[in-house]
Amino acid sequence: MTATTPAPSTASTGQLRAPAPLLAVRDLAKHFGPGCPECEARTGHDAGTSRCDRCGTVLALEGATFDVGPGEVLGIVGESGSGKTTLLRMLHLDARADRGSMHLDGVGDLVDLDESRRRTLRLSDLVLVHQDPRAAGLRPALAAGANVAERLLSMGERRFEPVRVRSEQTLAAMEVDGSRSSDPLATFSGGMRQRVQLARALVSPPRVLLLDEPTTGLDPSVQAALLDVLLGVADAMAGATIVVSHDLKVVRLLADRVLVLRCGRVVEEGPADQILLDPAHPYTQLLVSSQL
Amino acid sequence: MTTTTVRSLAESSDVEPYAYLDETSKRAVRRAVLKALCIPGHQVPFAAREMPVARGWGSGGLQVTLSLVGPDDVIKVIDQGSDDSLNAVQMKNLIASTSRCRTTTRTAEATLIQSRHRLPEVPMTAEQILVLQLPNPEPLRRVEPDEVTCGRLHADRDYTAAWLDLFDDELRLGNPLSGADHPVLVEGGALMSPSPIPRYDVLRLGNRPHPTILGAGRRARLTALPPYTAVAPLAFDDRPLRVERADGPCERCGSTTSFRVDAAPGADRWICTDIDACRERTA
Repeated sequence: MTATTPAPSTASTGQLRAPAPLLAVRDLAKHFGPGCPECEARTGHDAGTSRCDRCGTVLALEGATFDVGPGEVLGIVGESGSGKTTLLRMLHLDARADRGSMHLDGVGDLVDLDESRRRTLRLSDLVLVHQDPRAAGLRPALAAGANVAERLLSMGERRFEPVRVRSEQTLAAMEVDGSRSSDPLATFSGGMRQRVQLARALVSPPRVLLLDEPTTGLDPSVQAALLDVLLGVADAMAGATIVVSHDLKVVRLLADRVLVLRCGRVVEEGPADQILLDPAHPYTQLLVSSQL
Repeated sequence: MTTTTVRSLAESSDVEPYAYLDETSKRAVRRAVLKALCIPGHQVPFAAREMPVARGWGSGGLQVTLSLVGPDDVIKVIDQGSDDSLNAVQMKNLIASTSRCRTTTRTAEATLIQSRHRLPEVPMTAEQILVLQLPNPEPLRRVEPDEVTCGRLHADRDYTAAWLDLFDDELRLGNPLSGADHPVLVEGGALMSPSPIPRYDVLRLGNRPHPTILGAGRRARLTALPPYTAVAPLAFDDRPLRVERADGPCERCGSTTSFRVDAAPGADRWICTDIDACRERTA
């Protein structure tokens, strides 16, 4: 897992240009309800709600636009109901966007794909690490090593030994003892299951890694150890990483850039240090002062 | 015209139908068989009828045999390779008495062979048909409880769950736990349950000159393998499927290549289960 930074392309002018974004999201929107012409004006940060009081439509996400480059970690913060989960569900292709585009380099627009293409992409290119390892599609009756091997097998690997070796290596990188890799996942603790889930996501490094509150619900010492592992992962990832958390400390530790959501809108975006140490938007100021 | 039809129907209902099932039912089964042959390994639903055997005791195989049999056929019915098992004998009597066909115990003489738990070891020809009784047609049942999801996974040819199950068995136990129902890939595509046959037979299922039709009466599904279909067991490239162990030659015929089982637990006496093939060798 070495970060492959694309060689800076030197244009005819001889200037350095930033590499093309791996994931480009433009004007992404998800609404629940009939919608009316006044929805947009009646919702958002100023209105203090994402629900249109005229027609009852909920604008769970409205007009989200951002880029994530290769090797970059984007943090998404915001209160409950701000649209974090909706955004993540659309990025993981679990929910369909009502408007906008999500362009993944080498694949194209992800918004209009059919269900079977979505499933293949979810196994190869887009991987979501859930807050709750039980909700993540892990199979408790199977060995930890088998859970980790799932994505390799789904991608067509048909040799046993390479898959076994690779999954044990990945588990070891997540600091799971090799002697436990053939134990059923049901015998693992919560923190260990979260490591197995992470190993499953990284056994074949995805293009886009989505982390949904990866450390919430774990006790502080396990949280610290897991964050250590995550930091190593985020540094080594050649693909794009998106971390959703309402714990600003986690985001500050992991993210290069931060996106602040409120009432379905992006209120502020910028480098992590700038947003979390010197926030410009009043809502971000409130968020930072109330937590840090 | 209508009156004539009604009258002829009323008259014909007094007559015991040929081969137990009425003509409409047999036609429906034959249509399903043709469809199953067109899509090797695909589970084709059919309207399984009430049969004079309990569901799960060969009602699916029996319906296929009865809808294919004719008066010129010679049938053989075996259960675990034996012609003498009670269930096999009863089904053979039913088929023979309702279709007026001949019966045999010799594989080479038969035109239609219905079997449970074994493929005959005497090589079959293109003139013959093999019908297997299939208790559970869904190979994904062990890993996916939901029928609709199974259908979707078959449509996508997404057998990750089955591979994962196999990987888990190999990782923890060193060999697959599938026992006598090891799933197979048909023509590299559809995953199919081969019916409960020994692994010895799983490896002999493909590339045969005759059609093989698998009937599941309780589950109302048919699957089929047309002649010369490629069949491969679900196995990793570096962990091929290993056949059952037999530590000695057959007591009766002395064969070391046939499928043999322990005659008495722990006695280390091995005998062939295919009675006909064993008899051919001793004759």
